[in-house]
Amino acid sequence: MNELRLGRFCSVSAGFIALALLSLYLWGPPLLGPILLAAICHEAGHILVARGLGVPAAHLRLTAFGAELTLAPGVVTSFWQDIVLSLSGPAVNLLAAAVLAHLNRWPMLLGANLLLGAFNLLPVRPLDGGNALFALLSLLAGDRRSELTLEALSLAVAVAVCALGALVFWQDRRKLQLLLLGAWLLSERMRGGACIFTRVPIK
Amino acid sequence: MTNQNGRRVASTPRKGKRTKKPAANVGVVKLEKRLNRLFWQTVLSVLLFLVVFVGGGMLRGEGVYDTVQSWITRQDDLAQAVETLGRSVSEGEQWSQAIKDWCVDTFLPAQGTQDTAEVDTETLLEQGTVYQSANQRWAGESTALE
Repeated sequence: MNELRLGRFCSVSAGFIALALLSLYLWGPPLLGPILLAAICHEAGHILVARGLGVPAAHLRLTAFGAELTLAPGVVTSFWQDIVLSLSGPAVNLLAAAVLAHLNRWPMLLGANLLLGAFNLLPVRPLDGGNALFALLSLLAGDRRSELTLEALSLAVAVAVCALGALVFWQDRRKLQLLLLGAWLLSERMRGGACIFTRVPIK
Repeated sequence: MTNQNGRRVASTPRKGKRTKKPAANVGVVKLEKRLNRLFWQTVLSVLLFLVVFVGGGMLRGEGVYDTVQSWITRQDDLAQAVETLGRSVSEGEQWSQAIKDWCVDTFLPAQGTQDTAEVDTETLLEQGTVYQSANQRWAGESTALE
């Protein structure tokens, strides 16, 4: 696998490097810097809360599809812990946005944190909101039924966003963002990205 | 033939019966390959759909470069939209409203502007004038023929 290891904990895929270079060309450092900072805050939130819950994070992998945080193997967390773990990343982003709004400084960083936090709260897999919803539904109705429900919901949303994105692109050829977002969501479903926290599955 | 314990065993594997249990993860490996094939088939289908359905009507040969170029330059608007979002939230705008405005600006097609409407009206008036002039010319020619 083409990966660049940054120490023991983190690795970066070739796809991520390509995506970063493309983003640098399209948006430049003024936007890419705040986005990366917001992403670092997001993952730091997950890692710190995981440590606080006694679930150490084993590996962080950055790919073109996003960041994958792998917890220590063999550790099985409860659904409540899953909810707290999943929501910790967006919570840190929204907290950072609130602080920056209060300070009235760095609007680009504020916007990046707000968007990243709000986007990850969407109840769709593989986003954090989807994982939290899965854990919540599992508490109420069991994990098998919740898995099926959330997979169907995530696939339906991905297809709907793709269709809407194609329609928008048809009307305005400069608007490709929604179609790309739908393609990303669909590719995540096809890759079988069940949970951003990869660990021993609960049987 | 006999084994080490002195028990008689078949010298050849019996037909129709498994001699050893299948590996525990054979099904998982096959499922992953199938999913992988399904994934690439879906990607190819989406690409073909875009090329045939969308590209056939939208992207003519000479317009492809212009389209890509306009999309690349459009990304400056995205950076400005994120900064505008941050500024509006700093100024006290409600977060949900600010995010909604950002989504509309970023994802939805651009609406027509008033300037464009005024130009269209002027163009229509000019066309009307030209049409009337042409009509008068035709009327003059027809009377001449009579």
